[in-house]
Order: sequence, then structure tokens, then C-alpha cells
Amino acid sequence: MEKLRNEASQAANSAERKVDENGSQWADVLREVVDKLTGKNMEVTYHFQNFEIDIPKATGPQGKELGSAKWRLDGKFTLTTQLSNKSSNIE
Amino acid sequence: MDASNPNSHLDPETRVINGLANILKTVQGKVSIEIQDKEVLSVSLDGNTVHLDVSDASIFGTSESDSNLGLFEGLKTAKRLGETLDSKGITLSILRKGKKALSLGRDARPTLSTLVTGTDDIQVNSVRQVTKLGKDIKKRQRAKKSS
Repeated sequence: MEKLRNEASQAANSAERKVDENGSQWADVLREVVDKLTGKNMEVTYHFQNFEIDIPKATGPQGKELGSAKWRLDGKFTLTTQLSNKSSNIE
Repeated sequence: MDASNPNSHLDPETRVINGLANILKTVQGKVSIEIQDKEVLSVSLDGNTVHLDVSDASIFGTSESDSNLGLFEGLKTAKRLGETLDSKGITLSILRKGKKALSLGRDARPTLSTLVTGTDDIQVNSVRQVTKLGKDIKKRQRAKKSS
């Protein structure tokens, strides 16, 4: 019985480790996407089609009421990055 | 615990997922992303449904890390995301080149995949597309490592 309990405990620990490893892999994938979208020597174009963001009402500094808003985006913008000096940052 | 923040008892990952789910409910429309004139990703939102279409998996495989994520391997960790989306009434569909591969959250109707994922909040719409998407990502990572 004790042996069974130990085996079950080991299996549970192993599964937990596996889930933790996979969790960090998902984080790696997300980091790679962000790296790619902000990469060097890259041209990234974002196309917005009927893109709307509802900004809810909020309370600002000193209790000031900030009204709600709707932002609408249509069109595209292109982000171009160029590596100007390998030892420093992107332009 | 920070009394002014009702989410302060949550772990950082759950807070991020919750925050993301709340933002998704306030956004509508479509954004598509092109890299060097080639579409790689598009996201369509209508308040309760999000379609994430991966046209070119190279967007996931550019770093030189040792990450070797396969989608099936990562399904268990997507469990929490699926559950959070379901609790917020949101459905996330992941497509590969316009073909539905996975659904997470509210409208997920899993059958056998419950055995793999251990949750009712992830539906594998197409094993073929999920496998291909996983292969696309791994292939890209291998190509990057060997170059």
C-alpha cells in the first residue's frame, strides 16, 4: 500500500513538472511572436478592418470621472526596422 | 494581500489570462499581420468569439531557444486558458490557413479529446490541422537551428 502511494506521488510530481515545462514553452512561443513583430530589419504591416475598441468609463486621478469612448481603426500601418549598428540598438 | 486589488490573490499567469479575456470583450473587428508582404496571422473578434488564423507558422519559430512545443504537448497547459475563456463566455478558435484546428472556451464541444486534455473547454476540431500546425512550428524551429 505504501509502495502504491509512493508511486502515485511520484507520478503526480512528474505530471506537475511536465505541465510546468510546457507552461514555459508557451511563454517561449509568445516571446517569439513578440520578437518577430518587433524584429530587426523587418517590415511588418498591420491591417485593421472595422476594428473597434470600447473604452469603459473610469475614475481618473483625484476622483475625476473619465467618460467612455469608442476608438475605431480602419486602414493599415507599416512598421519598418533597420539595423544600423550591430553593437547598438535598432533605428 | 492588496485590498485595493480584487485580483491580488491570483497568480500572475491567471491575472494575465483574466486581463486578456476582459480586453477581448471590448474589442471588435479584424487585424491581419503581414511580414515582408506575406500574411502570417489574422485575428477576428466580435465580442464573444475570437478567430486566430495562422497562415505562416514561421512567426512562432524564430528564436534560437531550445523550445520544442508541440500543440498536443501544450494542450494540457491550454486547459486553464480554456476554462478562463469559458467562465468569461468567450470562444477562441485557432485556425491553420483558414481551416479550424482547435476551439477553446464557451463553444468548445469536445468528444474524445477530453481524454487527452482533461477538460471540457478544449475541442480539437481537426486532428489533421492541429498536427500540421504543430509540425509547421517544429519544422520552422529545426530549420532555424540548422541555419
